[in-house]
Amino acid sequence: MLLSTVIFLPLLGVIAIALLRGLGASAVKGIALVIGLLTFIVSLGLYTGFDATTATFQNVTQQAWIPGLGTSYHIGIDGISLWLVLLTTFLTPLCILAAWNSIEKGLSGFMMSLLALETGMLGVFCALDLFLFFVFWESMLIPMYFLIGIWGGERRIYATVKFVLYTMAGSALMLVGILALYFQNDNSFDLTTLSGPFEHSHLLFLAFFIAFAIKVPLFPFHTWLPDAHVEAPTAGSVILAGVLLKMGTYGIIRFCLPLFPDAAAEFTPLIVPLAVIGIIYGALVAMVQPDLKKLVAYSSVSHLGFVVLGLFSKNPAGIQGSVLQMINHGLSTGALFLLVGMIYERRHSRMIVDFGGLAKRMPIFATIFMVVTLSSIGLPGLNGFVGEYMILLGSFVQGAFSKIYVVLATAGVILAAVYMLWMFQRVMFGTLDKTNEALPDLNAREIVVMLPILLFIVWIGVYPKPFLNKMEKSVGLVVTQVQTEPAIGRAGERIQQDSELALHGTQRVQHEKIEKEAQQ
Amino acid sequence: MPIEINWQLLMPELIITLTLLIVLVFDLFDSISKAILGWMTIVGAGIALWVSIQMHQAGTVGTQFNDMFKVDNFSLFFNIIFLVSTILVALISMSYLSRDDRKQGPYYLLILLATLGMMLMAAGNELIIVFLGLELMSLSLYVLAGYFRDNPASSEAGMKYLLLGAFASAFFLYGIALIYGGAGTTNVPAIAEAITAPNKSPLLLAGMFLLIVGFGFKVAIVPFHQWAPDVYEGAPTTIAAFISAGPKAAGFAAFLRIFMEALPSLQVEWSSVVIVLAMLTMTVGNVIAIAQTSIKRMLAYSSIAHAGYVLIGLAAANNDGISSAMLYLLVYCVMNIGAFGAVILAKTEDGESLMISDYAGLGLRKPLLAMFMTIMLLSLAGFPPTAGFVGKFYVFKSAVQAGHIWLVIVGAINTAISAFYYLRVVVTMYMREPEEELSFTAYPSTLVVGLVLAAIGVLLIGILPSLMLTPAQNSVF
Repeated sequence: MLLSTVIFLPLLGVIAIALLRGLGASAVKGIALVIGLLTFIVSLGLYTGFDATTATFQNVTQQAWIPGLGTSYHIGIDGISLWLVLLTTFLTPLCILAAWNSIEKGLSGFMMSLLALETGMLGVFCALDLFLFFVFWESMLIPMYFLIGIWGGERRIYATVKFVLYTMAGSALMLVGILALYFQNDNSFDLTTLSGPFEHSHLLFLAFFIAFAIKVPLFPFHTWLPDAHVEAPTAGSVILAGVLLKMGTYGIIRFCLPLFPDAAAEFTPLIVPLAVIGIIYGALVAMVQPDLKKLVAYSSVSHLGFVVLGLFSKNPAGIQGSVLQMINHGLSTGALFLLVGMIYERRHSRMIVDFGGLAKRMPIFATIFMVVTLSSIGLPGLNGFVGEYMILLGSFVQGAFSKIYVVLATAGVILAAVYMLWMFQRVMFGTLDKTNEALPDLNAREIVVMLPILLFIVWIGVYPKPFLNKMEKSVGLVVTQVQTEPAIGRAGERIQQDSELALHGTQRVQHEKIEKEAQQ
Repeated sequence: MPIEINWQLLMPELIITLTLLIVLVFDLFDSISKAILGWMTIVGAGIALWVSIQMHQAGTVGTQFNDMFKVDNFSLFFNIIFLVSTILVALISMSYLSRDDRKQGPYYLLILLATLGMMLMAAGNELIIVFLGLELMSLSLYVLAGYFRDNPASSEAGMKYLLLGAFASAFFLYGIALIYGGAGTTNVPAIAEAITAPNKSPLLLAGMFLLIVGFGFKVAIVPFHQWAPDVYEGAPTTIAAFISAGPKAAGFAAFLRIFMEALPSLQVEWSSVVIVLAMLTMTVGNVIAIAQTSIKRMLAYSSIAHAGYVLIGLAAANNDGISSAMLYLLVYCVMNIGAFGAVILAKTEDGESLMISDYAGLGLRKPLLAMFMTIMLLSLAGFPPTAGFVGKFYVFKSAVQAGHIWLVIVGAINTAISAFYYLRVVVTMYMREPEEELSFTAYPSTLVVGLVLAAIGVLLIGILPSLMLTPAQNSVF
C-alpha cells in the first residue's frame, strides 16, 4: 500500500491541479510543491521500513489486473530500486521549486507534466511485472515530450521528437522481447517467476539491452541526449539527467544481467569498449563546448559510461559502485543543471564566453558551484569519488575484463577534471564583464533548492555506508545470478573473493580518510 | 414447409430495420424538424446495441434460414462494434449536417442501411449472404461518399469509390463462384468439410486469392488501398469517419469468419499471403502518412496502416489472434471516429481546418479540442495508458504465440514510425505559434458528447482492458 501511495500520489496532484487550476498560479505551484514534498516524505517510510538483511522484494503488492493477458499489478522494491525511488521523490520537489518563477506560459500544464512524469518514473523502478514495466516505461514519454516540446529552448521541437523516436525505436524491440519471454515464462509477465536459461537468450538480451542503451545513453546511441538536455527547461534537464537516464542502467541491472547471464558474458567484450569510448568521447566533446548546458550534457555521456563499465564488471564492488554512481550522478549533474538554469535566468545566456569573474559578484553561487563541480570530478570526500573508485576497483579485479579498458577509463577521470575545472575557471575567475556586474546572488529559494543536494553530496562522500548497506544484499543477488553460468565456475568464485577484498579496501580507505580528516 | 423463424435471434437486425423504416417515414413529413431523425438513429442503434450486449452476455447461439444466418458471440461482438460506430458517427454528424443545411433524411437512412449490411456480413454463414451484406453496405456508402453533390470533391469521391468498389465486388463474387466450383457448396461449415487435406484443387486456391483481393479492396489493404485516401479526403468528414470504422470492421468480420471457419485447411497457403500483406500494409500506410499535409489524408493512410495491425491477428490464426483482431477493431473504430470528430470540431468560419498547419497554437487557445485530438492521436500511436496500446499489445502477443516474430518486429517498428506523424499534429497544436488568427465556431454540444464518449472509451479500455478483453476472448467462434 505504501509503495502504491508513493507511485500514485503525484497522479493525484495532477488531478488536483486539473480541477483547481482556476485558482491561479500560486495555488497551482502550491499544490504541486505540497504533493511533491508529501511524496518524498511518504517515500522516506520506504527507507525506514527497508530490511537490508534480505535481497527479496519488499513492500510488495500484487493484484489481478488483466487476467486475460496474464498480467497483474505487481510492484515492490529491493535495495537497488529503493535508492532510485528516493532519488526521484527527492529531485521532483526541488525541480518544482526551481521552476517557481521561470515558467511563463501554461504553468498548470507544466506542473501536471512534471508530476505525471514522477508517477511514470516511480512506476518503472517499482514494477515487477513486465507488462506493467512497459506501460510505465512508455507512458512516461508523453509528459517528458510535452516538457521539452512546450517549455524548452529554441530547437525544442527537433529535440523532443528525436527523444521520443529514439526511445520508441528501442522500446519497440523490447516489446517483442517481453512477449517472447512471456511464452517462456509459463504465460506470465511476472518478473519474480522468471528464471533462465531462455531460448534465444542472445537475441532477447539484445532486444532489452538496445532499449536500455539508448536510454542510458551508451555510445553510439547518445546523439539524442545533448539535444534533449540542452533544449529542455531546467526542471526537465534535471529530471532527464537525474532520473530518466538511470532507467536505462536500472533496466540493465534488473533484466539484462540476471535474466541472460550467458549472453551478458558473451557481449561484455563488445559493451565494455563502447562504455570506455563513451567515457573518453563524452569528456573530450564536453571539453570543447562553448555552451554550459551542453558541456554538462556531454559530461553525462562520460559519467554514464562509468556506470555501464561498473555493471559489466559483474562483481559486488563494481555493481555497488555503479548503483551509488547512479545516485551520485543524479545529485551532482542535477545540481549542475539547476545552477546553469539559475545563471541563465539572470543573464539569459549559457555561453561560457559571456561570463568571467562571477565569483566576485556572486560568492554563494560560486561556492555552491565549486562543491558541485568537485563532486562531479570525483574529489575524495565528496560523493563522486566513492562511486568512481568502487567502479574502477571492481573493473580492475582479475577476470572482469581486460585491464587496458580500466586504464583508459581512469584517463576519463582526469579529463573530467580538465573540462570541469577549466569551465569553472572561465566562468568564475578572470575579469568581470560589465553586463554581468548587476547579477544578483542566489536568493533564499534557490539556496533552499541547493542545500539538500549539497548535504547528500557531502554525506555520501564522507560516510557512504548506509547507502551501500541497503543495496548490498540485492546487488549480491544480481552478482550470483549473473555468475551462475557453469563456464565461469571457479573463476567466478575468485572474482567474488577478489571483489570482496576490494570492497574491504574501499571501506578501509574511507576510514583512513575520515580519521585523517578528524586529525586535521 | 414453412420456415420457422426465431425472431429473438434476429432482434438487433430487426430493430435496425424498424428504425430505418421509421426514419424513412418521418422524413416524408416536412412539418417535422429533421434534427429528430438523428436522435431516432441514435435511439434505435442504442436499443440494438443494448440487445446485442444482452445476447452476447447470455452467450446466444443459433442459426436461421437454413443455416445461412448464424448468430453467435462472434457476430454479436461485431454488432457491438458496428452499433457503437453508428452511434458515434450519428452524434458527430448532427451538427455537421445542420451547419451546412444538408438534407438529413436520406443520410441517416443510408447509414442505417449500411449498418444493417455490416450486421449481415458478420452473421453470414453462407457466402451469398456475406455478399448481400457487402453490397447493401457498399451501395449505401457509395451514395454517402458523394452526399455533398454540389461539392466536386465529394462527387469525385463517390464516383471513385463506386467504380473501384464495384470492381472489388466482382472479384469477390468470382472468388465465391470458384470456391463453389471447388467445394460444391457456399455454406461456410460445409466448405470446410468438403475441403479435405489432400484435395487442394487449383479452383479453391484461385477462389481463395480472389476473396483476398476482394476483401483487400474493401478494407483497404496494400496494394488494394489506392481508393482510400481520395475517398476519405473528398467525402464528408463524418462519412470518412464512418467508412474508416464500421465497414472496415465488417470486412474483417467476414474475412475472419470465412478464412478461419471455411478455409482452415488452406491455412498454410493463406497465412503466408496474409503475413506479407500485413507487413506491406503497415509499412506503406505509415511511411506515406508521414508525407501528408492534409489531416484527412493523414488519417486515411493511418487507417490503412491500422488494417495491417488487424491482419497480424488474422495471420496468427489462433484463438488469441481472432479475439485480438476483434478487440483491435473495436478500439480502432472508437479512436478513429474520435479523431475525425476532433477534425470536425476544429471548424473555422472559413470552413474545416484540413491542413495540419491550421492546428498551430490550438493547444493553448482551444484546450478542450486539443485535448480530445491528443488523446485520440496518442491512442492511435499506441501509447499507454490508452486503448490503442492494449489493442496493439494483444495483437502482437497473439502473433508471437503463433511464432511470427518477424511480423511482430515489423509491427513494432511501424508503431515507432507512426508515432512520428501522430506526434507531429500534437507538436503543431501545442508547440507552434499560429500563422494567422483563425476564428473558430462554437462547439456543437452533440459533437462534444460524441467526443467525450469516445475519449472515455479510449481511456477506460486503456486502464481497465478486461472490460472489453474478456468479452472479446469469449467471442471466438
